[in-house]
Parts: sequence; structure tokens; C-alpha cells
Amino acid sequence: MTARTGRREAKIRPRELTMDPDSLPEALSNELALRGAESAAVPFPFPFPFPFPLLFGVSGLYESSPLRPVSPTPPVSPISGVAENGSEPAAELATPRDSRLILREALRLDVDGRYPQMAASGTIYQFLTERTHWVARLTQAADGDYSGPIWFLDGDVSTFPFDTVTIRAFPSPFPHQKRAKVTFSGSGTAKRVRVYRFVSRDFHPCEFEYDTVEDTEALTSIGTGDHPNRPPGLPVEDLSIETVYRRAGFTVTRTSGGPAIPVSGTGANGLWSDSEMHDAMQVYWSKFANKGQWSLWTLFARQHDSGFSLGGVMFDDIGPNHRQGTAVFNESFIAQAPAGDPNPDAWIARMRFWTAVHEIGHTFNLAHSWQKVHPPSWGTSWTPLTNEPEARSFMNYPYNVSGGESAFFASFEYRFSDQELLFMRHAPERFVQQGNAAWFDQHGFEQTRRSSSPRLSLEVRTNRAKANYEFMEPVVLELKLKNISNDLQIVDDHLLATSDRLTVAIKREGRPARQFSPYAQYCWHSGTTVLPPDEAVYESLFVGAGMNGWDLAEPGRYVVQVALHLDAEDVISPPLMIRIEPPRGFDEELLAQDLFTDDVGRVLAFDGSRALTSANDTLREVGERLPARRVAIHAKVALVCPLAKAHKQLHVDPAKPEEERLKFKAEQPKVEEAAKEFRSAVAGKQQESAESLGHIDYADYAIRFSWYLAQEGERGEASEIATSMLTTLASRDVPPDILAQLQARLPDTQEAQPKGNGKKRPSQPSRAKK
Amino acid sequence: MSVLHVHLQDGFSGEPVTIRLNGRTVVQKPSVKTRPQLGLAEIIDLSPPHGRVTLEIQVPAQVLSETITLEPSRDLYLGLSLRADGTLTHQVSESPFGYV
Repeated sequence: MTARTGRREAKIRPRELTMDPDSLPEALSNELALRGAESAAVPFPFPFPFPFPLLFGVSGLYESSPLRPVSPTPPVSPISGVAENGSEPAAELATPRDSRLILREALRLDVDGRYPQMAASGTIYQFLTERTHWVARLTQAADGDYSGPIWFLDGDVSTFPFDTVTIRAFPSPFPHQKRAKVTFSGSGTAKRVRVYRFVSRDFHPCEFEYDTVEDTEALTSIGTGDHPNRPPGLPVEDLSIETVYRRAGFTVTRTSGGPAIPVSGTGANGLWSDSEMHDAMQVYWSKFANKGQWSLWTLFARQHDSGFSLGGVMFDDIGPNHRQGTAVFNESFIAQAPAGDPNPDAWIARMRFWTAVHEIGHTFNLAHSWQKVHPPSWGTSWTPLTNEPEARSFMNYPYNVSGGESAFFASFEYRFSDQELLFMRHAPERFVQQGNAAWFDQHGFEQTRRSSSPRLSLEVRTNRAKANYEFMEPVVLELKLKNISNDLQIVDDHLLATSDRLTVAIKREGRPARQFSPYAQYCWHSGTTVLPPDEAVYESLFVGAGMNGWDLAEPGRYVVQVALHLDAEDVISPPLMIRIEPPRGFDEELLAQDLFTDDVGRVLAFDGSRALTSANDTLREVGERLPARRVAIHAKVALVCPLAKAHKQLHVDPAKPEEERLKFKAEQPKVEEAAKEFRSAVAGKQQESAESLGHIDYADYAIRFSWYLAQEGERGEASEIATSMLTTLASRDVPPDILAQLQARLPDTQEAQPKGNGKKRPSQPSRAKK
Repeated sequence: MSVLHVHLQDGFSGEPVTIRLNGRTVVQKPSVKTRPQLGLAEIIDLSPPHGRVTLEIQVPAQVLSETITLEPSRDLYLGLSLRADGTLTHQVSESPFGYV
């Protein structure tokens, strides 16, 4: 594993402070903002008395990734106050190797802060798109640990036999040092322990964008003290829509709306229909996309086609992706204060504000408070719910409760109900996320860190028209990383050759996905390449055999998908479907038993071996008995490569005295013999060789052997190998600039060049507009 | 002449609904479905005669029938909802119902 150096910069999100943050150390001000300032919207007592009871909240989003191991928990006391003896013992952190293809795990701990639900939830993101989601109810024990039963499971539960979680939180004044240790247990099953690092005080991100029709205006915040009818203890503050949702557990950011929307979008009547609003959403919303994303759009308009009775609507229950758009109608019943109201303007502002938050709540798949129980034909709830007809929640109609809207607002604290908060914070993401599960499906109660604006795209592909491979043919694929942005991108020189940056998933039809694990991890001297827009770098990817064996040995259909892990995001390739053909005869089936071994896999992966003689014998037999099959090309290439290099082998002779027992035996290269064998391997099969070995490796072998021959003075033969390679690749539509790059790597057969080390070098970045 | 605004609200899942006014069928809807985000399925405006009127709402698929007697001297709003227990509830208001 390539060592990582450098300190990860803490991502601290400043909350809405009611004190001057510059007057306190940054970390302390952030932590107090995270916990203290948000619990009451009254001005913070500053200067505050010292010593001040510093309580650091532990709720929030945590993450664990096998690619970024979490350091042992720091030697601080857990919140119980019981001192620990330094770090956790390593044995507690070590867990049995999990055979699942886990990319990362998220933990949402919800035990303090605003409206704590005494719950925890987690998502285990596996390849390919599989995930396991769990939710647990928590109580706090005397020792400070939280524990409780897992009451909800979703997704791939076959490998999740646990029914209880115990969570030990390790608070810290420094957010990036916070940790949470979760122990999963169940009767008759070994415990599973995970340590997570703190990511964020909030559980999910969300982008809000508002647009306004030119004949009206938007209202996105109110003064909670403006209307006299309110709960006696209600904090007086300027409350925005975003703040309401931040308190519900979201990191809310505003994306900028555009200029006022012309009223001409309504057609002749000046009123809006659902389809007209849907059209406007697609045109004016900067984030519109037909996909699930934590992003929503709200339109402020005058009136709907339905008239005065419709104050607002989540209109987006049409099209392939629901729940992305909402609207508020300012000239509807919400603008008609009751006769005799003590402050009609404040009443109207409050109703408009409440309507906007209510409609946005529907985009989070929240049903009305009285609608949690409904006919099955309406949809499903994520878990059995109860109606809350008297709830003082944004999702209830104020005028439907006992005593009417006056009674409602007399005890309304501008919040959602606990049932609704539990759903928004802890339900599987796809149930809540806008544009994901259809409206009202899984209401009320997906893996990778993809960027919403990717700069790079990754493709895994074959160099053949159809992705069909012969039985026993080792599978070699090609990776293409392309700059799809408008800016220069700086990428690591060996990014695609760095195994710990890549996760390769292979899934046979009908079987669980497996992670391809190469035989070796390469550590490279770091260097960077500047990738202009629309250009790409390429790398060969051998997936025929690895530490898990031969993942693509059996005939059948497979899906291969690759994730490239950058620092801030993952770039995922589209899935590649490939087919392994059945054997053509008894000979193949028999030889396969010897071919599909670890030794043979290593010989092929490392381009040959002098030591693994049994594997070499198998490859030799394959080459002799199946000369027309593609596996023979791989076998012959693997056999000849070591011949072309000088090498040393360590021999151990136990019969000799100790000081003479170890002896290095050197062998000189047999270049001419190796080149002859190489030409024999590919002669008459240049097209098949290029297709089966993959363009990158095929070119690499040809360049290598061309150099070997040139260094021995065999310039004519060197030129012949080079020319065959370039001609073959040209006929396979490899772009001219790539061919030029390959040409530049070939020896000048007019004059001898300095010797190379003969080792396989990573492919040079090849830039092509393809 | 006053208008009786009949709002078919919550609980409708595509059932046919018939409304009879003073014994005469005035509305037949083959499929009434509540839009959950509003709690409203349909709004039907009726022009009842002066004086007392009898309104009968039939939901044949649920073998349900409800009779309501009204005396609309001015515009009235009648909200009808199907409950989960299979009963029909109604509310009468002189103010428009609001939906969000």
C-alpha cells in the first residue's frame, strides 16, 4: 500500500454563530457553534464565564473506508468520563477479513444536538451498487456507551447477521479527531467492529435553489417574533428556510437562482399548471438532472391554475424523477389573514414561509402528518408509521388541528416531528433524496462519492468489437481516464497503475460481486501530468488472475466495473459486460485444471518466471496442444520474456556447508532465441495478438523485444518487429498521435542505443482525442 | 345563486364516485384519486336549488353511501374524505379549503 503522507485538512463547517467567531480560538468556536450556539437562538453570553462546561457533541456523520484506515482511537476519555489506558488495543480494532467488496461505510449518530432521535444508522457501500442499510434505536448506558437493537434493515442483508449495535463515541474539541467505535453483535455470530472518523455535524447535504416569477416575490425567511400568536418560550430570531433544514440535520447550501422568470411561461391565463412549472424547472433550475441528487428547486409564483385554494404544491410527481420541484403561490388563501388578526402582514409572511418549508418537506418524501397511514395503493411507508393529526409539524395543516390555526401556531416551534426527523436523517438515502424513490414510495420513514460536477470520466473497455473471450484466454482490459471538463486537469503520472487507487469489481451473473486483488501493489516515484480538456490517459488492466484466483475462469456472463479513488471523489466507470465462452473440447477442459492455478496466474501477471517451472511446463503444454487458441499467445509470451533478460536465481543446497549453502546463479539473456520465440508467438496472428494481449501490452512487448534486438545489433529484426506492431495497430484504428508516441519509444535501428533494464515499464501516458 | 363546492379530498385510490343531488345523479366520476401531496382529488362545483338539499355520495366499489343535508344560502364548501376504516367523513365550511 503506497504510504500516504500529509495531514488531511479538517473540514469544519461554521454554523450560524450568534457570537463573534474571531474572539475565540478557531477550534473552540467551531465546536461551540456545533453544539452550544445552535441549541438556542438567543445571543450567546459573551464574554462567557471560565471555566466553562465544555461539552462536545458526538452526533453527526462518520465514515470508514478500507482504503483510508482510521488510526486507533485517540487516548482521550470517552464521554462517560472513565479514563482509558491509552489507545484501544490493536486486537480490538482488528476484525475478521470481510469478504464483501466494501468501498466505504457511513455512520449517522444521533444522540445529542438539535432534536436528537436517540438513533444510529449506517450504510455499507459495496460494489457493484449493492449496499446494506441499518437503523438502530439507542439508549445510553451508565458507562456512556450507546447501544440498542437494529430495527430496520434494507439492501443486501445476507451478509449482515447482526441485531445489536454498541457505540462508543470519542469526542474531541477538534472535529477531525472525533471517532466512533461501533460493535455489531448478534446471537451466534462473531462480533464486527468498525472505527469511524467524524465527517460532519450534519447527516446529509442538500442544495436549495429558489426562482421567482417576475410578477411576484420570494419569501425565504421570517422573524419568529413578528406575530404575537406563538409559544411563550419560542426564541425570537430571523429564521430562514435553510436554517429549518439545517436543524433537521442537513448541510444546506444555496445554489444561485437566475433572473426573474417571465410570466409568459404560464401561457395565456397567467396562472401556472403543473406541466408548465415542470417545464420551467427544467429550463431555469441550474441543477436540473434526471437523476437522484440532494438538490431541489422552489418556484415562487402568483397563483396556480386550480385557483385560490392552492397555496403551494410539490408538483413534481411526473417524469422519471420525482420530488425535485415545488412551488409557493403568493396570491392564494395563504395571503388571506383572518379577520381581526392582530398582525395580518406577519400572519401572511408566516403562512408563506410555512408553505415553502412544507412543500420542500414533500421533496424529502414526507407525507402530511395525518397521512402516514393510507391505502396501500397510494404507496408504501418505509416502516409502519402512525398518523399524527395534532402534530405541531411543518407537515401538518395548521387549520386541521383541534382549535384551528390559532391553536396550531400557539404551540408550533418551527420544526418537524420526531417521526419525520427519524426518516429524513436515517432512512435509506434513496427514500429521502430528491429525484430518487418515486413520490410516496418508501416515504416518511445508493455508494461511492461521486461528484455532481465530475472533471474526469473513467472507461473500462476491451480492444475488440464484442467483449467475448475464449475459454482460458486471460482477460486484459484497457482503462481510459478522460478530462471531461473545460479546464486543465493535473493527474498523477501513474494514477491508473496504482492499485490502491483502484477498486476493480467483477461480478458473475447470479453471483455476488468480488473485488479483483492483483498480485502486487506498485509504488511509484510521484510525478504529474497535465491533461488538457478532452484528452485521456490509458493503462492496461490485467484481470485474468490475482490473489483471489482466476475470477473470470468459468464460462458465463460477467460485469466488470472500476472505481478510481481520488482525494475528494470517486470516478466510476460504466459497467462493462463481458462473456467467457465455453470450452471447445475435452482437451481444453483438461488443460484448464492445470492452467487455472496460482502459479500460472503469477507467471502470466509478471510476464514470466524462471523459477515456477511447473507453471512454465503447463504454459508450454498449452502452447503446444492449443496453438490456435488465444491462450497460447499469452503462454508463449510469458515463456519468452524471461529469456530476453539477464537474471539471477538464488539456489539453496542443504547438502552443502552453511557458508556455501546459498548461491546465486546468473544467466545471460538469450535475446535471439527469445525474439525468435516472440515472433513465432505472434507471427500470422498480429491482429489476434493485439486484440488478446490488449493494444497497450502488445505494443509494450513489441517495443521491448525491438530494444533487446537492437542492443544485440540485430537492427533489421528489431525494425521488423516494430513495423509489424505499428502496422497492426494502425489497421486497428489506433490514432496517429498514439502511433507517433509509440514510434518515439522504439529504438533507432540506424544506431545502437544504451541498454535498458528490460523490466516492464508502465505505459507512458498516451494522449488522444478519442 | 349559491355555489356548493364539493371537494373530494383524502383517501380516494381510483374508485368511481357518484354524487346525487335531491335524488338526481349530477356527477359520475369513473376514477377518483387523491393526490397525496395535497390531500385533494377533485373539486366539483354544483349549483343547488334554493332551500334544503340532500346530497348523496356513493362509492360503489366500497359499498359506501353517505347522505348529507344542507341548506346553502351562500357559497358553501363541502370536503369529503374516505377514511382508512372505510367510512366517509365530511366537513362543511363557509371559507374555501386550502391545500398545500
